[in-house]
Amino acid sequence: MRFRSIQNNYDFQKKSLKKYDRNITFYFLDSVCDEKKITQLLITPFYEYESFSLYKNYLESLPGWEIISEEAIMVEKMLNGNVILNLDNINYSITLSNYSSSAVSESTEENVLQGPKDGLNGNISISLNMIRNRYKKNTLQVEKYIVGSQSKTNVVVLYDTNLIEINVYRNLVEKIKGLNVEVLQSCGQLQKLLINKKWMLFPLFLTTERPDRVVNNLSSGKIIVLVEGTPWALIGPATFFDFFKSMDDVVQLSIVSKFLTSIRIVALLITVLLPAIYVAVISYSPEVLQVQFALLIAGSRISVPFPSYIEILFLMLMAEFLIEASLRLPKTISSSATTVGGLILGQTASQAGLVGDIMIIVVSIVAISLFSIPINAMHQAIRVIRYPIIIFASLFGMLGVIVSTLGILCYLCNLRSLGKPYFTLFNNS
Amino acid sequence: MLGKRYVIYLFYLNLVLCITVFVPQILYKNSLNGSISSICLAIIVGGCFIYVLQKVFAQFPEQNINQILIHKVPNWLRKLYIIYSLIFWYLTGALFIVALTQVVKLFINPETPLMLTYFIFLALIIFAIVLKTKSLLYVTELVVISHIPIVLFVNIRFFSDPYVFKDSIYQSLTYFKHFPKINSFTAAIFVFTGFSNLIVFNEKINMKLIKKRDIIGIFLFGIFVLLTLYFIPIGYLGLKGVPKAVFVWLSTVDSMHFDYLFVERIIYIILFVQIFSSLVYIILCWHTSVELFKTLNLNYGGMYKWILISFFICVTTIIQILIRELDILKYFIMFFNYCAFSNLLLVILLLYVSIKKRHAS
Repeated sequence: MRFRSIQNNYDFQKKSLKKYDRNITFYFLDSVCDEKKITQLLITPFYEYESFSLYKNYLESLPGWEIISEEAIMVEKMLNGNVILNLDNINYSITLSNYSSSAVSESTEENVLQGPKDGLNGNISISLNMIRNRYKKNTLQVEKYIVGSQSKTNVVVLYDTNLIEINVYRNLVEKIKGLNVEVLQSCGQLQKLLINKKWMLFPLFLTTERPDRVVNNLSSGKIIVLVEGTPWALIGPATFFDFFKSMDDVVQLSIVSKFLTSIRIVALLITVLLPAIYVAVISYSPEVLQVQFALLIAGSRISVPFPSYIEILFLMLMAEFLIEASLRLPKTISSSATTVGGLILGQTASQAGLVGDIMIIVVSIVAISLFSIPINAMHQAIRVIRYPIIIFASLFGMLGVIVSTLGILCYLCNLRSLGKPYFTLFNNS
Repeated sequence: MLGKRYVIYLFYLNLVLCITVFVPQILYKNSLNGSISSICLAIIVGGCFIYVLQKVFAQFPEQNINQILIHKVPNWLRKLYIIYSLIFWYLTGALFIVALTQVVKLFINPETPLMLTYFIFLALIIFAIVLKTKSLLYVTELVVISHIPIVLFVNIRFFSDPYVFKDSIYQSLTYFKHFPKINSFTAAIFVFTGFSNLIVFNEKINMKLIKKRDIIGIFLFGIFVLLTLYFIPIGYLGLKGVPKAVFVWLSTVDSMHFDYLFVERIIYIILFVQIFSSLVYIILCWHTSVELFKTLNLNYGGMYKWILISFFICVTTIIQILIRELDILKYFIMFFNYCAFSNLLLVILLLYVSIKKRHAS
């Protein structure tokens, strides 16, 4: 037996035991089998029983045994966590699967309402167990590389051989083999090394801690990279709009999920453009707005001694400080920080006449819509990208908004993730 | 290879650009003596132009103009033609920047100095033209998709507006019994020349996927846009009123009234998307020019490209300084004549090459 379809995986195990010049051979995938049980229930008894017929009888007393002759079925059984045992040319399949659940914790960064709750684990074999148990196909290929001249970190690459594009695979594997780094500790660091550019703002790989997202992406032909020690997986090639999909979209009904995705895109537009448009409209072209609305804004700004861009930069920076503070502080203090910062500062700043009321509304809308981006890496990038647009808007008005937005679009469209276009509206295949 | 929709985007961009580049104004110069017949003639010739270009480019998949011409025409002719079209595409972009800065000065930032606006545009364009060809096509897609709803919006507003002078439109139709005028004809034919960028973009777009019904769709859409381009302003400003406005379309949009929006005057939204699409068009023009330059094989090592681009910057700046606002319209009339001539040249050359290819095989 060769098991050609899965024998190249690094978690594929083949063990031969010998007694009285006769062989028995075990085949299994160690990521989905319980190796302790294999030793306890199969290997130790093998040496304890006097004759082979007794051992055979013992095997047939185990729960979940079966005799199988077709290789395809055996592969399927192995993917399900069975051990294939070859004894006198008879193939037994015995269920010794291991579904890690005790070590698995809930995912904390990407919350969903109704989807599965598990998160990946820092231990690669547990993560692999979770992925294999969710994706039982013999075309799933698992390869191991060692990165880091000092840390010797295990990096595992997963892909579906039927679905992957060979150029994408080669591109990634060559990059991983060519990495020259002393210590590798996290997925984010690996992503930085893979992109290998000095100035980089947008994440070119999706980072996730959810096995269900990993499996979804595997089934659409993406490559997954796991790094020993971090509960995150890198997914590539990613596109910009992948960062706006939540795993809830798979669970929800189709119209609801379309609605949710479009809401996130609207939130993206608001958070990127609203502060800049506010500055441009207030300082350069108030005639754009309806008369009543323009007067309302002007009225709320009547006591403000600064131009609008100082006002908005001041408040946006305050909001950034607030986010940073509540992120790093212990959980018990962070709620009081948000109270002081958000409520008291906002209220008094507008009462003191330092900022207009409408400005506080604008900054709050911008902050809220920023939070609706589901993936953290993109969230941070969007946070940064707002400032150049505000600066351009305060220098050149609406023209600055147009030019900087178009520049950013050109930059985004010119990015490639593993040789695939990063920013396209529709699929190009 | 990209899908056929990118060709449609190129064509669409060309259509909507006509608003900023004075096509309606040039048509209105002869509105009483020959514009209608010029438009009819332009529709016929434009339809043939689209058909021929699609047929010929589909015969040469994944080839730009240099690869199409090589070994089929004499070497000197090929190089001459490439240099000629390089200059043509460069001039197109340069002239459009001048028009665009005028629009910005008149409608958005009257206080900002003209040269400052111009240099901001130039910085963006120079940044963008050296990007990959495919990336620019993706940008085009984005801009076109965001442009379509606004065009629809304006059209719906026109058809539902009770204040349109329908009589003026009927009146303008009565002036059809005149011989076509060359200036009006060349301006109208510009609407249909969206395919001519393909001399470079044919390398990336699969023209074979374009079926006959796509061509007919594109053609009908072109007719629709050309007619709305001509008739909507007449409906708002009157037949005698249209020749007086400088940017007639922007004035027209400004006279449409919307009560139920944040923004009272829809002109700003139109202007913003218009500037977006014009900038993308200029970027595509100059990108075409730079790509044509690359095909000349002047020991291309990156350096030459920057020499060409700095040449672009200098010449455009000189044009920008020297050109007088009043003369822009005159230059555009000249440009449209020149453009029609270049496209004629392109069609003749391509037909010659395709016949030669058919004989060879």
